[in-house]
Amino acid sequence: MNKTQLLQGTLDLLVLRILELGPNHGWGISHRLQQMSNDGLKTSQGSLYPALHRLEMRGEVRSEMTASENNRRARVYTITRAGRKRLNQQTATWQQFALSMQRVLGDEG
Amino acid sequence: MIGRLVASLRGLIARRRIDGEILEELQDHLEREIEAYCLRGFPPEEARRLALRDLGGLTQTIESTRDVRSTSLDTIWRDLKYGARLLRRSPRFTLTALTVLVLGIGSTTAIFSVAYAVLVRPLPYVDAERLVFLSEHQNSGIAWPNFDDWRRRATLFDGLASSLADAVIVTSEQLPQRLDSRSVTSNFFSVLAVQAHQGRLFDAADARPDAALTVVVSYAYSLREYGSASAAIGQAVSLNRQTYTVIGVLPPGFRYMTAADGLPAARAAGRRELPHHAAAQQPDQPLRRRPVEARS
Repeated sequence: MNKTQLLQGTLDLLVLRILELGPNHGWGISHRLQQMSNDGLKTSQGSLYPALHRLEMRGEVRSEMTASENNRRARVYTITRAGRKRLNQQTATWQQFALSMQRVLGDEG
Repeated sequence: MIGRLVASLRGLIARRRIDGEILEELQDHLEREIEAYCLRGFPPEEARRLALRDLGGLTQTIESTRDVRSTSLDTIWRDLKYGARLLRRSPRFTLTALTVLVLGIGSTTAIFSVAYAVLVRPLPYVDAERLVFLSEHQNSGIAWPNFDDWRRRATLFDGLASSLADAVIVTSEQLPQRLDSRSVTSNFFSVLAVQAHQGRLFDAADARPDAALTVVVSYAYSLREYGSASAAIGQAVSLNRQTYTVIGVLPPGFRYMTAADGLPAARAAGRRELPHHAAAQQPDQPLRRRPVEARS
């Protein structure tokens, strides 16, 4: 279980990417992140929730308290148009960055 | 942008509610985490322990999440409060700063008021932008013979008029009074496009050397001395020991080279444009002494 620490500034991008697949709540997002990264990435609640609220303040996601199963209420996040736009930009930037890192470090890395 | 503002406002107003919502959100997270551990086969007690460990510091999470929500407006409010406290703590500095501000704003306002009256406020004449002010040299007057030549030869202007500021002593009242007045050429008011409020203004006949002495007074003067503008017409008034007849009253608010509020407005005259003071008033020239703006 050697989980990679998230690089600074990448969490927003990952969250946006996961929400692009569909609305989700906080736990669902962190769970999905582990799944999609094959347990390679994990985020702590201490950074996930501030990030979600920060994204909401920036208007890149919006949230709603919804009633879920077992009479519980969950806050469900949905990506907005601004969020999609930022996701596209950041993805391109990130891929460029990763490619350049790869080139410098070499395939054996 | 507006969405962000609304969110900050909401964050500011409903901080407690938001704290509650964050707590509820984290609670929900915890329960889902426990369920997930249970599903993987951990006994409930163990699942709960593991989930709590994963969750980390709850208070810290709530605080940092709330900080995100309350940044902008809350920070400004905190800064304001902090500033106010600092000012209260050093009253001498506060007093100095306030004095500087008060003096600065006050003098700026005062200077602007003058600049507005002198430079910006439109001149109170019809077609004021067509009026030009002529002089031989910067701010100088015009020698009468030169003005006379200009008047006869100039083709650029609809009319050229001249005036000369001079005070007169009025001796027809019980007490002698000194009034500001202006000797003007007979076309002076028609160049300014001013109509008489009562009576008539000058015409060419008034400027003939053998004409009876006539005077036009301001509206304020007519009210003060005769009670009404119409009562002023035809009155005899002694100016510098010569008897003049009041033939007309200027419209209320008429001013020339003076601002209505009494500011010296010599510069405003620079924009306007009349041939300025005929410098010398020669005995045989068609200039006559007529107070046009009477001020006490």
